[in-house]
Amino acid sequence: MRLKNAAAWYIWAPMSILFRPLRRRRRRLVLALLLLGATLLVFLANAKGPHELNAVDRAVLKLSAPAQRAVTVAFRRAATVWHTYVALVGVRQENDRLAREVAVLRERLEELHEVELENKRLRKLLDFSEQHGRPMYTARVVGYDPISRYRTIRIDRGTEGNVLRGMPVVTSAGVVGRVLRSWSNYADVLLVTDPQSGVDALIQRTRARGTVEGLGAASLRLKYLLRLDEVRPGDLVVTSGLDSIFPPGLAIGTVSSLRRRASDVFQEVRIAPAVDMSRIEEVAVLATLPPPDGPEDIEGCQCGPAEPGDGGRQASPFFEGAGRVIPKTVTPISETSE
Amino acid sequence: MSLRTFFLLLGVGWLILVLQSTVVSYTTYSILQPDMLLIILVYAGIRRGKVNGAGLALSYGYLVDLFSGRPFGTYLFLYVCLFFLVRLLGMRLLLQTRAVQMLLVAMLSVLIEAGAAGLGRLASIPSPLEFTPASVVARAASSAAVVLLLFPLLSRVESSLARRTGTIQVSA
Repeated sequence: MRLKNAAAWYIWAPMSILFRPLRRRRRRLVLALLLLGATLLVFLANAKGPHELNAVDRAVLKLSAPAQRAVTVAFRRAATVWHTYVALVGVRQENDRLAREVAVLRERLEELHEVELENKRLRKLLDFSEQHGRPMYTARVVGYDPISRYRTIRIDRGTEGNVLRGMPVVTSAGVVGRVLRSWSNYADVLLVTDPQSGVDALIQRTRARGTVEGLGAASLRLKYLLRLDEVRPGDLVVTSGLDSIFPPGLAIGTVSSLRRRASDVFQEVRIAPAVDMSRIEEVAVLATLPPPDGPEDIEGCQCGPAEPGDGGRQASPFFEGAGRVIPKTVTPISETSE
Repeated sequence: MSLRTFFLLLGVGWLILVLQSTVVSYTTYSILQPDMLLIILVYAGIRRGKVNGAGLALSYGYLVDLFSGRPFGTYLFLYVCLFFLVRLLGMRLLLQTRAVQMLLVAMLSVLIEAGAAGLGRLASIPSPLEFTPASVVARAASSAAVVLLLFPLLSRVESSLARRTGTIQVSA
């Protein structure tokens, strides 16, 4: 028995010393492969549809979005101070008192000008809402996609502000995109310029129909437009309303170039977007029926009144009952804006 | 890499993403933005401590996926791949000189763009027009240039943290 144990020790001890690094390396390799496989599975599971936000996602976004908002606001303020104050240092040296007064007045003027411009934009959005007869919620842009400016934007209104996934997002100039995901006070908007985006569209002049797709840059493509359909540069492209997401007649852009080849069934049409995606400050989210696969938004949605005093961001009273998702109580804009 | 360094780099990564999605978007062309997270990941990959580095790759990938409009999991997979690739290269090659590190970052920057485009194609998403070969090269070059600044900075931060905790650290 003792002899047998000794033999085992003499055989296994060198073997284990020899194979220990190999085993450790193999274990590491297996772990690495498992990790890679798991991440690839996560990608494949989310490749075809939007990612459902879980509790961790919500926590990270709840932490990140306010930080983004704070940085954006601070940056805009700093830019305003720079443009209205620091840039006037040279002038102020000539006449300190007068220049300071001018700077203060100019700053005030700039502020008023900004307010006036914002007022105009919001008024346009309100007119727009009246035209299309749907409840509308305005929101500010607080962040852009860090990878590309033409993919998504983050707005400061979410499920608590009645913004749900799938809702169309517009400005007075035209279509911006639709809500990709929404949580508490923020939502991400998939821009029409994103390659994943698709909008059913018409050439306004000829009523020829196609699908507008993003190209991931400051231009769009109109697909499935027959070669024989009449179209020319400058033609306005509008939403058809057939996709049940966007109301009909919203401007998407104008035809910038087209190419017809005798061998092709369809013609290739490029569109310049009606909205400059890199300069959006406020948007309007139009109320609509949420997609059937979006329970998380519906659960998180609080269909109560919008917060009072938030600069005309309440649902318009003119359209109560017109849309499919209606807040329980609607505060008239005139009451809060005064 | 100590746990403290891990959390520090995680916080720095989050802050970079917040800044990239706000201030940097307003001031520079996005195609010229250096891929800061990639640089930090390469740094972590060259260092010892695989588990923390892999955790950092996972965390960065998750954060970028949450911040960007790409299908969820794209950067989660790519960053983990990239981290293991750096580890593998680190086992076979000497990656201690700055020039080699810059070259590695530039190469990986191109690889990650190609990988994102490839995964996008797998998910039937066309590659954005914004990413042309010229823009990919420009981004790779700017990322490589930032290595000169970021690597010594990270190394210094890490050694000061190590000095406080009394642990020995190997410089990158």
